[in-house]
Amino acid sequence: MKRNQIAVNLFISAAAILFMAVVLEGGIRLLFPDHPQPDRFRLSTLLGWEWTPGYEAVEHFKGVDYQMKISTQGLRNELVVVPKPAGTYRILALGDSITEGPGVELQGTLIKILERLLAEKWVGIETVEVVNAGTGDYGTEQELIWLRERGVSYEPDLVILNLYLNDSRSFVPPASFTAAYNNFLVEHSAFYTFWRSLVRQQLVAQNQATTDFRFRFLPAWEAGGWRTDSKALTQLIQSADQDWGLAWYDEELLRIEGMLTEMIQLAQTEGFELQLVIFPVNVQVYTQVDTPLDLTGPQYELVHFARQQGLPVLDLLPVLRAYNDEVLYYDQAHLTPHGHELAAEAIQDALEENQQVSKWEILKSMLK
Amino acid sequence: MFQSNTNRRGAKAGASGQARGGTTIAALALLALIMAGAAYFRLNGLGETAVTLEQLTLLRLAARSINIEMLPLAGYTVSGITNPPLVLYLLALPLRIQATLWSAFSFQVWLAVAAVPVLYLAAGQLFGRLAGLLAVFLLAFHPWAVAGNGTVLFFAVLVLAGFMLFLAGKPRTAYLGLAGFGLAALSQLQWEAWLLLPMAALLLLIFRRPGSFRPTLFGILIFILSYLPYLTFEQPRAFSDLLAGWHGLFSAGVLSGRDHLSSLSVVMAGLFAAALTYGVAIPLYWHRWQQIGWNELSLRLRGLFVLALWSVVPWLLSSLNPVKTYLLPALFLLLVVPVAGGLTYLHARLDGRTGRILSTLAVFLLGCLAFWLVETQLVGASVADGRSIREIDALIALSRERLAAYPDCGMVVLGVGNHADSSPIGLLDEFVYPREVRFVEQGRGLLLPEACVLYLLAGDDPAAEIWLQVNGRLLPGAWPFYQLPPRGEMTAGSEPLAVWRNGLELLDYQVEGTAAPGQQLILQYTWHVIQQPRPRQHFHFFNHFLNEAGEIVAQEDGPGVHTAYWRPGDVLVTRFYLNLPPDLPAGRYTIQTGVYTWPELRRVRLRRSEETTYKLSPPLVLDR
Repeated sequence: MKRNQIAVNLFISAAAILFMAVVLEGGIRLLFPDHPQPDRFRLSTLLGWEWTPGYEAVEHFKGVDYQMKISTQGLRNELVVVPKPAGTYRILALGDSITEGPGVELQGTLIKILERLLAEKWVGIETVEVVNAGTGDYGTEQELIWLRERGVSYEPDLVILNLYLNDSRSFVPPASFTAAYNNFLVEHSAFYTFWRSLVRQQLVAQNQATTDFRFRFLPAWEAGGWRTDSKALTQLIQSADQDWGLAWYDEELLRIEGMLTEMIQLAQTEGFELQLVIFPVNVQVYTQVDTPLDLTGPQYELVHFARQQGLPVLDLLPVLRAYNDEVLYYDQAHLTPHGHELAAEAIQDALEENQQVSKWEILKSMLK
Repeated sequence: MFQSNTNRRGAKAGASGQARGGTTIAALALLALIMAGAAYFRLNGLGETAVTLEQLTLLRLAARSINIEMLPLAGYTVSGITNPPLVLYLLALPLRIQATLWSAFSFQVWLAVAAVPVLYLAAGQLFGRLAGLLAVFLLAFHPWAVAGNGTVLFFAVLVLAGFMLFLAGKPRTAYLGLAGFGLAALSQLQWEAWLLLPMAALLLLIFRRPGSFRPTLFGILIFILSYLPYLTFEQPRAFSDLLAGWHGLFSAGVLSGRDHLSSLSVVMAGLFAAALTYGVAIPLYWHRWQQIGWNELSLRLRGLFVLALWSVVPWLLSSLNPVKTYLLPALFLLLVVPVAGGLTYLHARLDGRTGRILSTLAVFLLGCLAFWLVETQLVGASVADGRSIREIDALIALSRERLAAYPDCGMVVLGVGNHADSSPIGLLDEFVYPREVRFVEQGRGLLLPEACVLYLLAGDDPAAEIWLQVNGRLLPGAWPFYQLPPRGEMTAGSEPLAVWRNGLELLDYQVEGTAAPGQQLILQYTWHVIQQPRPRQHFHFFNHFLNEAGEIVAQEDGPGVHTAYWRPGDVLVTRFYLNLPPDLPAGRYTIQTGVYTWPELRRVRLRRSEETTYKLSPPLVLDR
């Protein structure tokens, strides 16, 4: 009798919860037919987060609207044919949001400009593909994992690793259960997504200090004293020690160097070429003074390491500095369309200089 | 037999209500006197009590919780203290009212005093007024109890009273609720108190009775809820402390009675053997002889049985420390119940007047003994190590005063310990918050910020003292504070000798002493910090004495000035004492220095170079 009573109570409780869930789900869908927007990212047990396949929206970045479309393969790119068709030279461009290109239409990103430049240069070649494999806020560790677990399946001939100064940051992947239920609910439940966005707003409000901590350099960066004042520049770099200022710490450079070594080994194993491209922070491009911290120290150390390892490397700092009377950046990291153009041209030049082209010539002759 | 005695006493008392009222007032007066005595003995000389490093660290963490308004707390320390947050919450309470050591320590005193009436109520109800008074007498004056942590005593009494009243008295839900909360608090304050959990389960099983299910469930619920702050604190650390404590509990050192039993004096061993016999054997025999159920036992017998299991078994199992503060209330009760029984027996056998005189004399003698023990063992004992509460409170007050007078100055403490966690006065940093205090190990160097600084010379460092006298201004007061004017930014002319990639420049060095076998060289370096080290990043310095083949023949490493205190613009002076081997052959020797990460031991490279060391010049030539 007593047991039956407990069972009945449990059943009624479960039914009530289910009923409320259905009511809330229906209510949200009715009240907010356009809500919620799907997330551009979803959780990944492998990479922490990744593009949501099929995501499509008009996004806003620094006052610019642009079309953001993620392929079903989870790339900001057109579908990549696998296996690679014969006669195709495929370049995978790894990187973070700089590569992704916020505020720039896909065809205006340095990746697609590079594709066009190479196609123009390599007349007579059936196909040259440059695949945008950039994902917002990724670090080198995630890029290495992505390349190993997914990227090699695209059979790249060349991998360009676009490195930014905050790329040593580590990430914590979510537990598989968390990722699974979160992604399922985000995909299927309007109420969950709505509720989560509310909670997230609250969390952001509560963790304002934490968010600020990473980007606490922004007020000083916006003030601009670093352009002419060495002390202000030094303080700015120090205050960016949770973001691009990381590159001024030896242990962070060592982390990157360790991952680069792994990537070189992967390239040898999988038989693709590797090109390193170092993107500067705009502070390095626009400042007129130096700092005791050594303004170009990170680039110096990374280039030195790459050369020691025989890894072709392009430092974009001198390239962009030559145009520092023009608007190349939206903010401290992200390039304007003009910045994308300059970067793409420089990379094309570097590929030629580093003899990736000559290899292509050989390949071309072989194909003929 | 006990039942009938109780009834008889009840009948007697009923016949003379006025006498009972008089006795109650006398007992309450005596209780008040004992409480006053307990407070007196604990507060008297409290200011002169030496504070241990662990106590200071806990106080520092508690103060930090108030300063940064963030809980849980202990995760912010590098000192390795793994106390759960509860103890820190409790310490933070009095600190919120008044941020002094006296406030925190006197709060513990008041908790100990509050334990007295609680124990009296429980013991009096089960074993009679006399036993209750004797038990609280011990709790108030026994040296172990006076020296013990008042917070632990309070929760120990709470949990004991709750369990005893529930198991031996009326099974009220509130009793188990109190016991559940007390047990959760106690086991977080003293990890070994976990041994009480199986005892509690066993006793609840033995004395199960109709209607005890819900109170038990309630007690368990309260216990779990009281553990939530600790579990919240442990969760991000993968419950490592919890698991370590659990493993530690079952290690040979803790759950082995060998060392403990052999360290007991004959008298103490005899006393506990008697208590064990009295508490365990007699109820067992009584039960067998009478062939009755547990629940039919008298209150007193059940109470004794509970006490015996409650105190003796965990006490025998555990051997880390013979004085178990968390078990003291139960042990005291075990000891006084036979004494009270004996006094009652004497009172009944002898004629009324003689009995009263004898029993009064016995209580008086017991009181004298307790007084003597407390006086000789605690109050009269000299402060051996560490600074006293009063001394540290005075230093805190003076530091606040000095910093208020010099609002632009930082503060550096030169003394024992190179970090707040290892300094005997490390809690200064949280007690003068938000002003910053940095610590430098005496004889190991100096820290010279760009801005003005107040130097507190809290240790023995003659070289630094001379330097401070020359370059600073001694401020009057009980503690030697020196005010150093702003050093200013480094001038353009001060070109570094070498720059390491962790943002440290070597500006200058000096080598003192004679390079000869068996001699000591003093290596003094001047560094300039140009980059703030990352949080939790630590660097140590190394000094190698190399022979012509480049082999290390002598070495001296150390943290110098602790990395946590490096600030951009600081000049650090580090001093190392390099002892040369007595069999050092003649030849040319070189000294090289550098830094490495701690504890990873990875050398830091020089900027724009693959080198990690800077070689001092000229090389030292050693003739024999």
